[in-house]
Amino acid sequence: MAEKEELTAEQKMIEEKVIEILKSSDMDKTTEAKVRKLASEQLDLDLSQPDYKSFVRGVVNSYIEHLEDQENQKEEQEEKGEEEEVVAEENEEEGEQGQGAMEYDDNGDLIICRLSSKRRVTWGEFKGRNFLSIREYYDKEGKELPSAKGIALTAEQWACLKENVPAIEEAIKKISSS
Amino acid sequence: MWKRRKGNADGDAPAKKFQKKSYGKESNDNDADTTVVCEIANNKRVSVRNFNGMVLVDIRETYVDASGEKCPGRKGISLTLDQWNILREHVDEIDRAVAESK
Repeated sequence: MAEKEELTAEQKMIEEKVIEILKSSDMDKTTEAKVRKLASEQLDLDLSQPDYKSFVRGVVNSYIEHLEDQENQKEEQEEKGEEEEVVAEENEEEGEQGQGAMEYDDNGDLIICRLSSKRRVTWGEFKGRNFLSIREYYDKEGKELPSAKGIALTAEQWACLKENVPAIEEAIKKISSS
Repeated sequence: MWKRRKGNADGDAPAKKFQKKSYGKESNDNDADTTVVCEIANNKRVSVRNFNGMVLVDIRETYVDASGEKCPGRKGISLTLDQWNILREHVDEIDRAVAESK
């Protein structure tokens, strides 16, 4: 902050220009050199001189930091939102059995529940047969896709698993106490 | 020149390690820390195991190794206790979904 107070009028002007350019640029494509060149043209100032150059670099870097902070905050908020959504769904299920809106994934499979933010239990068709899938998903370009980590059970296999729930519980108790 | 860093902090270390290990000979029925609870198909079974003090419920395909023994394979999922409990709470709901599409 102390540095900012000492900015000259010229530096302020450069800073404003650089930020203006950065705001209108695609941050994945532009470079510091391109920004500097644009600013030079628009201000009619040769910013490739060492003093100017390092000043522009400082402006660019603090802008990137600012962007990253914003992005992190956004991600945090999104995560929170997701959690709330899951809680809301659970409440719905408990309140009125089966009357809540059914949720389907991109494949048209019914999402029965989420075991974690990435793991789901779904019921859907594959090659003409229905399967219960307990699976981990991964994020690809904003789309959630099923990963190889998981297992698909037929209705019969599920019935068998269900029958064995007490035996599984017993085994958990035993292994937890050993 | 300043590609934004993309954090990929999502690791599932225990399952990964297990998958590697499961190719070896040490993790089969004889493992003291693993209880095979049931076979839900010829090549699928449920086991409970203790992994570094963490209890995991494993629903996994098996394969028969050279000595004719069934071993846990690559396909499957290891559920933590929390995840297992969520699954258990949804048994009725799964049953409804299964019944509806029959």
